[in-house]
Amino acid sequence: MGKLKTRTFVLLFLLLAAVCVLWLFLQPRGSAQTVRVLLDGETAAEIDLAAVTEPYTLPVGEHNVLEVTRGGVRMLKSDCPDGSCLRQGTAEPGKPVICLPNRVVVEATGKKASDVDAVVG
Amino acid sequence: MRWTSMKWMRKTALAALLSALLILAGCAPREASRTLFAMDTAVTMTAYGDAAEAGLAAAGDVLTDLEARLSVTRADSEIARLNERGAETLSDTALAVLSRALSAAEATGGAFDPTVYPMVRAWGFFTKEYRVPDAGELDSLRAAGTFRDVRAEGGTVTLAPGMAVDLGGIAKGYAADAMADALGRAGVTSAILSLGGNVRALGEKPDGSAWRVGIRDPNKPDANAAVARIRDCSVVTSGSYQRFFTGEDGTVYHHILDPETGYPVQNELLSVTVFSSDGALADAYATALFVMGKDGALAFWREQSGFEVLLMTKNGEMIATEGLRDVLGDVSPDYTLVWAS
Repeated sequence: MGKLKTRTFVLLFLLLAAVCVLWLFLQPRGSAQTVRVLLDGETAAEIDLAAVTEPYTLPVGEHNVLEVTRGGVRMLKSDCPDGSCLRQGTAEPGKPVICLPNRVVVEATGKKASDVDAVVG
Repeated sequence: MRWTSMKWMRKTALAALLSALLILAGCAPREASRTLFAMDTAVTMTAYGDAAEAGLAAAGDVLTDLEARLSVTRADSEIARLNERGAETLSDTALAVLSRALSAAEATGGAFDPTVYPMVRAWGFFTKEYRVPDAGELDSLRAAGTFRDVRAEGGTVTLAPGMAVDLGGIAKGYAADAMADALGRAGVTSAILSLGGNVRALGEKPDGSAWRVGIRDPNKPDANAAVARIRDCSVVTSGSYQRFFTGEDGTVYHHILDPETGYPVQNELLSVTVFSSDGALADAYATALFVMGKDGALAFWREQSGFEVLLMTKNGEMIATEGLRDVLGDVSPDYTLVWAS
């Protein structure tokens, strides 16, 4: 009986270890995984970054163009007056790229890169 | 005997596997996000837990309702009607926001003033058709009245002729609080709201740690100057870099006007960030402290309570008040951190 108990515990331990390893493997790596593009609150595109092989450009509505690479999505062109969306860099989880005048939001989902849940300023 | 033990072992193993899976599934609580456009900004809300979706729907309704009542650019809003007619009976909601704005104006000696609106409009900051008004024009707009000339009797608010109010300097902070309350009523205990850089944290992160809020570097729009770790708190930044234009004379004019003169504030500050559990106060005070300048802002902080302040100056100083010692981290090497007490 004592032997059986030990075996049970060893088995349990191995099972738990296996599940933990599996879980670690399933964790998203890097920063953004998928990127959702919203135009006026409606989903205009959904991009799986892992499936991006070659960089490409993606028009959103009539006023904005995005650049899509495996590393992420950024605003390439916009006819908005201040062009602040062009300076916001790549969309990261918790740090969307927003073109307010044209109502375009580029939001990334996935594991937060380093770092922050929101930005002020 | 041997057979039953084997069976028992298999059952236990199965139970262990199932509970391990359940625990792992529980490690990732439900997360829901929504982005809306309101109050001239993009509003991003993220909530956790089983009530997340219902909470976000409720919070979105609160925001939409406030926007419809307060917007100066919607002709049918209560505030637009007040500005149009000079007198209006306001709903309890609109009245509550207006009275918070007037209290903030009183407390800051008019450094925050919701009646600067006609001057902000004269600069074109609403239409984005920027121009430099002359001193005479600004003087006559200012002469129409200040926050002290807003009369409220019962639910009826009256403005002096030529005056107009804009609650945009406090509405986002107020909305953030009201949205957090709505989330709480729906059963959400963990959420973060961002109203165009006006951030409100409800509770803490699902894993029990503090929310990490980046404070944008005024000189590098893509980088953070520091990271704040907050729980149940609002963080609001006012910065001269947020909205500005270059005039025909080559001068850069930003959107934070000195209510006394109607001209963009010129002092040593690049940005002011206010931390408070009161989002409306944080919003109004971020603007007011920018107007006050470094010394005025710190003096004001010393005589008041209920908020903490982070100032970034043109000469690379980051001045933080004592209460932020356990909050502030990851300070950029571009800044010299100075503690104020």
